[in-house]
Amino acid sequence: MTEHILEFHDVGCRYAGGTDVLNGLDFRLARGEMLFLTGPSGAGKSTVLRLAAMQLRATRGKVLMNGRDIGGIRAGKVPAHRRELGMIFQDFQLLYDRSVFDNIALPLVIRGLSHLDIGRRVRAALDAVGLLNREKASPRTLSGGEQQRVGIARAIVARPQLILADEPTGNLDPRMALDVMRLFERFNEAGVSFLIATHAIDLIERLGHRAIHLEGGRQSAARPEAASRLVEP
Amino acid sequence: MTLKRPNFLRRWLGEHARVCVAAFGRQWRDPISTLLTAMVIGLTLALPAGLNLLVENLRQAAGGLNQTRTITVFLRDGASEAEGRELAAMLGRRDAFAAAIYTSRDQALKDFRARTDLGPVLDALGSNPLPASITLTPHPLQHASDLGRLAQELRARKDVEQVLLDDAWSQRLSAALAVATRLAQLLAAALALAAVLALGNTVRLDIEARRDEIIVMKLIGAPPGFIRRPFLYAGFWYGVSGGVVATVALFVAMHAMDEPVQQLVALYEGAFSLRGPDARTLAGVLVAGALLGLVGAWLGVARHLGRIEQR
Repeated sequence: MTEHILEFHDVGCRYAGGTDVLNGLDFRLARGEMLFLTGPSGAGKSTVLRLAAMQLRATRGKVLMNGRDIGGIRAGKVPAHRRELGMIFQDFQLLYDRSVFDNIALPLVIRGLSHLDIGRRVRAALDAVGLLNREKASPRTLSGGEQQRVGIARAIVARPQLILADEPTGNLDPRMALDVMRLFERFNEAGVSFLIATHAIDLIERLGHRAIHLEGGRQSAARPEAASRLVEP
Repeated sequence: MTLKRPNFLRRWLGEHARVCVAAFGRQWRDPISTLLTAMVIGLTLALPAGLNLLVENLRQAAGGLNQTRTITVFLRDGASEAEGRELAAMLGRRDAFAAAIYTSRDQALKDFRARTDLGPVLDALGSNPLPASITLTPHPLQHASDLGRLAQELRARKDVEQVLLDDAWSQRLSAALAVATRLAQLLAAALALAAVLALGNTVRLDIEARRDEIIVMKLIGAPPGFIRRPFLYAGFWYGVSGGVVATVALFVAMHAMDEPVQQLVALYEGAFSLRGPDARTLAGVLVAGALLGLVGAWLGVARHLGRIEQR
């Protein structure tokens, strides 16, 4: 098992129109680490996550997961790669015609688990995010914070080694945002690695984890004041 | 804790059963849209199936009318009544003929007088001009070409003056039925293509309606087969529903046609009743519907599913 779960080596990404969205990005995410990506809109934070999830492919450099170059993965193997990850989104990406239980069960249904195992593991995930009594509810009836917790439960239910979160607190008020981050820390303490793209610099400062600041698709030395106080690798 | 997976086959079958039932339930909950799609496929199936059924019925009717057809063998004047009766008996024993009836010259004269007002004309002739004849009734299943060959054989006999076999209409009917059969096949192919395209479009709309779900599925690592499956089962159920609509349409059409056809057949003195679709035809319509549904859905999925990605 490699020391780093995710590695970006001099990674560049250029969109079809010729725009460089990432240029020479180079970082490593240690196993069990929680790493933040900060920067203004358009800095390339989401692109990093999309590269890790193979929604995009790097046009330069290498992206390694568990020491394996994922750039060489065939299109047909991308779903299997994604099943090794948990993904959390700003807009939650829940299915509103299904119950909370069914939303969380989805990754397990895809993996072909038995009903018994699915029930046990979904309830454990619901318990972990504090929604045990809402399993039959429709996500529509939940608050934004609760919906994000459903999204988190869905991301952790299959016990991935790495969770990618794209602006997970972007639609939440400060108190709910802190709750969600505390939840991430609990899973992180249990050994799950996190790569989180966020604007919430004050939250990063409060939690005290490592952060990488991006600006115009490059790692920037000049960081906003709050981020500059963060611990460097 | 490791993920415990049940037996692969059981899991696979269970997943298919779940998706199949869910696809049926989805259509059941949207009856108007389902009915409209089913009617498109149903009419597509019913038209060629109905035409095929019509051709089969005409073929059967042609067989029935065959019974009213006869071969008339006129004997030479030199042939005696005993020879004529012997020839009739010999022909009657042949497999090709259901009946062979000898009519003597005197009997022919009597019949002629009874049927027409031309008795005085015959009297003026001084002698009976009518020949003795044998009327042969072919078996219903006797092929027209076989009858032609038999007529030729009879013409070669020394005691036979003339053989009348009016088989031109039979040949025309056979040719018309062959044209209708080919037309049904071409119609079936063209309409099947139309149904597949229509279904592909319906599945495209289904895919668009479930865009968010597909995006989520892709993001959390669902394999293509898992995402495709509900749409393929939807196509299957659309096809089966179309098959049911086609079956109903066939029965309704047969019922509506029965009375006028009976009247038409009565004019030709034939014994024929309109035959509805049998179990084999119905099974064929349902299977064809299901296959069309699957093919249409597959095309729709292959064309549109890959285009859906998170923006």
